[in-house]
Amino acid sequence: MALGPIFRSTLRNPTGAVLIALQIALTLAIASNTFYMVKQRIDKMNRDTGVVNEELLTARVFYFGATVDQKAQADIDRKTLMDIPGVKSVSYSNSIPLGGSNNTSSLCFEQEMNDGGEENCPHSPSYYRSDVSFHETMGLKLLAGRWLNESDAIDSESISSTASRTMLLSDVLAKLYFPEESAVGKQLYLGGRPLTVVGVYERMLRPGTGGSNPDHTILAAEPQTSGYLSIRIETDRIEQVKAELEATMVGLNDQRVVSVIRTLDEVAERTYRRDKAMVVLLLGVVALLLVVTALGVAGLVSFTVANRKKQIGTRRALGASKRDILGYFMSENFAITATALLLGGFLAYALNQYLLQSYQLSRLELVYVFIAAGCLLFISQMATLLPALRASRVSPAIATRTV
Amino acid sequence: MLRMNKISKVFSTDLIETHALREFDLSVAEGEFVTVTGPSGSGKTTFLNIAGLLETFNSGEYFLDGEDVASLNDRQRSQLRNQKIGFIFQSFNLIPDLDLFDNVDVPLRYRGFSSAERKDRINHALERVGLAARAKHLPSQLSGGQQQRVAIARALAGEPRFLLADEPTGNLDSLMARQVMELLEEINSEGTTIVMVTHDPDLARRSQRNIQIIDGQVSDQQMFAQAV
Amino acid sequence: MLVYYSKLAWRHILQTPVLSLLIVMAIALGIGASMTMISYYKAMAHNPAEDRSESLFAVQLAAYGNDMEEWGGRPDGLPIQLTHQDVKNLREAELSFPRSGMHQFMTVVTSQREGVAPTNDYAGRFVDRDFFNMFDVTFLYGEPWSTQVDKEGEKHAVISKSLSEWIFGEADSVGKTFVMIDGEMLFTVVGVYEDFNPQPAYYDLSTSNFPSDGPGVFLPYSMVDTLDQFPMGNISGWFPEEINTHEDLRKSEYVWQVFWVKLDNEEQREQYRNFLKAYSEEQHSLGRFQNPNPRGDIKDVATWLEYNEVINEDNKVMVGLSLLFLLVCLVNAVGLLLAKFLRKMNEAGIRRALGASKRQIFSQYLVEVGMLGLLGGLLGLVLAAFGLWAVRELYETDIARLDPTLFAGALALSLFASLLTGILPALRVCNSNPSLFLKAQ
Repeated sequence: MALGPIFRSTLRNPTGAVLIALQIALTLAIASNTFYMVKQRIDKMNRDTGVVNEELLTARVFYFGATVDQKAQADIDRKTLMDIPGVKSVSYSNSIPLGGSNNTSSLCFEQEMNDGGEENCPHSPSYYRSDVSFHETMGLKLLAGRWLNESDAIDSESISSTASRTMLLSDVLAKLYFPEESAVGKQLYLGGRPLTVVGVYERMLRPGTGGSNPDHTILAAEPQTSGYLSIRIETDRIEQVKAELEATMVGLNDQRVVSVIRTLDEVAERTYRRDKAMVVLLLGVVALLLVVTALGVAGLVSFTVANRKKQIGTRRALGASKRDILGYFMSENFAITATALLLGGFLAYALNQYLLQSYQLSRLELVYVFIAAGCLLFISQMATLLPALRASRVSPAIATRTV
Repeated sequence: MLRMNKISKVFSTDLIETHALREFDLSVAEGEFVTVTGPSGSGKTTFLNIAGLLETFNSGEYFLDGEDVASLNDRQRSQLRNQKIGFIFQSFNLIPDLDLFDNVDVPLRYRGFSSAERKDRINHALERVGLAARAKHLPSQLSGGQQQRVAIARALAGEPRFLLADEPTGNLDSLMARQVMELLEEINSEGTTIVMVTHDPDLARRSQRNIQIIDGQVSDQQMFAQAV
Repeated sequence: MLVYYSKLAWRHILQTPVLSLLIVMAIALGIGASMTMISYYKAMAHNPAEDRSESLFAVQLAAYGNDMEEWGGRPDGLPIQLTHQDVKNLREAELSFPRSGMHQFMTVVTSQREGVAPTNDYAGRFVDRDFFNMFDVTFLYGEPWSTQVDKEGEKHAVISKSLSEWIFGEADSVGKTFVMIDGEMLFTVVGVYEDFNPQPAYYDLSTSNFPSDGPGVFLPYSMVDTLDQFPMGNISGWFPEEINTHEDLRKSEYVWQVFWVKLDNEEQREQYRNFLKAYSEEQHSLGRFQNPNPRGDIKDVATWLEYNEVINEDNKVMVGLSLLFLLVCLVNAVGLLLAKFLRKMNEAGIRRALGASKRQIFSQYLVEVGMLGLLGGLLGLVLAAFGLWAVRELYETDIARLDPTLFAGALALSLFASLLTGILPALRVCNSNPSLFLKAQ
């Protein structure tokens, strides 16, 4: 069937078509931006932590006894925990990936921080301070140089920076500071102190949600005696160790509180709770939006069918087949939807521009507009199918009836 | 009761202009029963719609009960229609979702009567057409003749001085048509002015005067002796 | 006439149940989604200080040097926290306004009940005695420590009812002592307060904005120097300093505390602004605050909440999205209403012939739309209750609740929105030429 007459009859009474088109266009604008936001959140939640999540159990250890020799106790803890079947490695550190506590400092080329500003100190990585087995506990991958060893380890009670003289950089950071050459052997200044890069590891996420540069991290050997306790355990033993950890630890020394005992997966879940909530809410609203749009299209097409019953009957009497009638409504809807999607594409772009300006969202990738447009075209055609089938079943005899 | 001077009505679309009425003159006296005949497309319905204040006209004058209606706004026209005019249609035009009582109630509601007075009038009007017992029925449960009698009851409930009927018997068989016609004559004999469009020459002959409209103008008038 | 219109509307709604249900659902979904997000947003935007909002002021100082123009990442270049030195100076200034310095710390409390292990579940906070009045802490037993304690320090504590019950097994523990901090130190309870956790925690936005628990124990700020408790919260510095002991931190230029002052009128505010100006200049001349514009500022609670961006971006995006969703639902409703009403063109024509004016027909249909809107609004509220339940589950927060003022707001919004959507369809009906529908069918 030619599209000409369809367009003409639609144009003659455009209100219904305009409303459907407007609704589809708005839906496309909203859905494509939402899909994109969802995609970004999911990417964030699924990003590689760089550590062996499924094998890690973490806890916070807080001493209150004034007379405890924490260093000696840490050694006892380590020894006792290592004896538990399935435990591979134990470390105390100032923070853990995705965890709550975070130390950051400016990493500079020159000691004098005021010189050059951004150029001298381009980034502020999070720094991990721990014993020399931390990389093993976390399961990091070495890309260049060597791991930290006992000769790097420095005892310090500093809370403002690391006292260490050596460090490892994450790969991302190493490439940012030394794009042309290997970072190993180079010297940088962290909070005014000189540190020599002895190695580069692939990745270890920052604590917390990571902000905009989640891979900017540094590792220094500075054994801790409290703070975060991390235990690497064979995955199938992890729950058992978790259940007994508090009793074990307090049994060894009751002058401390062992709390927030969580697997790293649980830590991640809490850290990403807002993102997950946002994903669920965004998808919920989009799902409702698509349902409403489908019902709206179906409702209006039904109405059009009911209104044109006589016309349909006349066409049937004049020789149009059921297929022709079905095709008529389907192609009418196709034409309206396609026009709407074109308009919606521009709206999607405009909405994205607004979001770009008002919030820290990135530019919409075109593929999400196409995905959303594809969904909508499908939904709109499906919503038309039922009333259109009903239309095709209209009896030609209706044409001859007067009332 | 009704006086039209040089009324013209033009329907324009993008392509053509149709003159439905041209310099149409007509007077109807109080208490008269006038029938209007003419071929289809001659302007009968347009005349009726203008007479009933459902449509406006392009030029000329129209006095209804001495009042110049050209200067009235929609609200005033609606009020006038409500108070002075009753309508009867070929297809009855009862509201299908309302029972008989509520159908007759419609014009009274817009009149602003108290609920007691409305009830009174509705019962009275339904009694008058012999359908009081079926007040709670829906129009679809009645025969065509009964439906038309309800429509007449509805037209009468507000006690209009002027009844406009558009082929009221067109959809009825001859027996029912005669009953309806007798009812209209009875109403007329009580003093209500009636203008009725019809194409049945027998019915036309039963009225006091028949006017024939051709091509938007009165082409012929015939007076008949009062048939009592 | 309104009663008549309502009767007709109700009858018509029942006659076209599917279409009516679709319209009600469209409005309900739109209202439900937007009310959910707006309620959550409103809960976050809540100003818990209420009528005290305009007299409580957070104090900020440009306590940084090295010719930096700004520091702290805020638009006006002022950090939201203060150094210990500055808080000490502000507390000791010769001014008579109620004020309090504060910072949070993690502590371990020992219970006196059998078999209960020590816990660090109860956060501690150093404050001055004015804090309790300024931030409306309700005392159940006892009272704040004395002004003398504010000056000289004493191991006095004001604890929450929950903590009192946890330690002593009873709510009234005034006069009793308990062990805290190092497993030995004894503190005397001078007051017990009704659990205090305003949301957002406006008194200190440098840690968590919506903590699940409020402070469990308040200690006199005058004890900060002697108890050596490191803060639980942010410590920020603009140049590297070696911090090994608590004393190092106290003497450093690191910011880690908060200071509030109560100023009841403009005169007092002006006086305090002048004081801060003089103080900044004095510090500048002493070699601190070495920046081009040594200055201070005070911000009332409402300003402070906004300044600290208590409402996060996600919530704003969700409110915007839900309003767009409402818009789509309304466009949808317009289409469906049009379909619903066009079926009634004939009836409208008859009514016109029987004396209804355009305005009356318009009103009749608008009443119907309004009824659909109200039904949609009511159903929308049910959906919003469900939506807020989902939000509470998802965010594990308790603050997202259906606010009674929003209840009326939701109904008003749905009524307004539906009337707006109903205008076009109702106009279509009342403006159609009645004679077209009367002739034949």
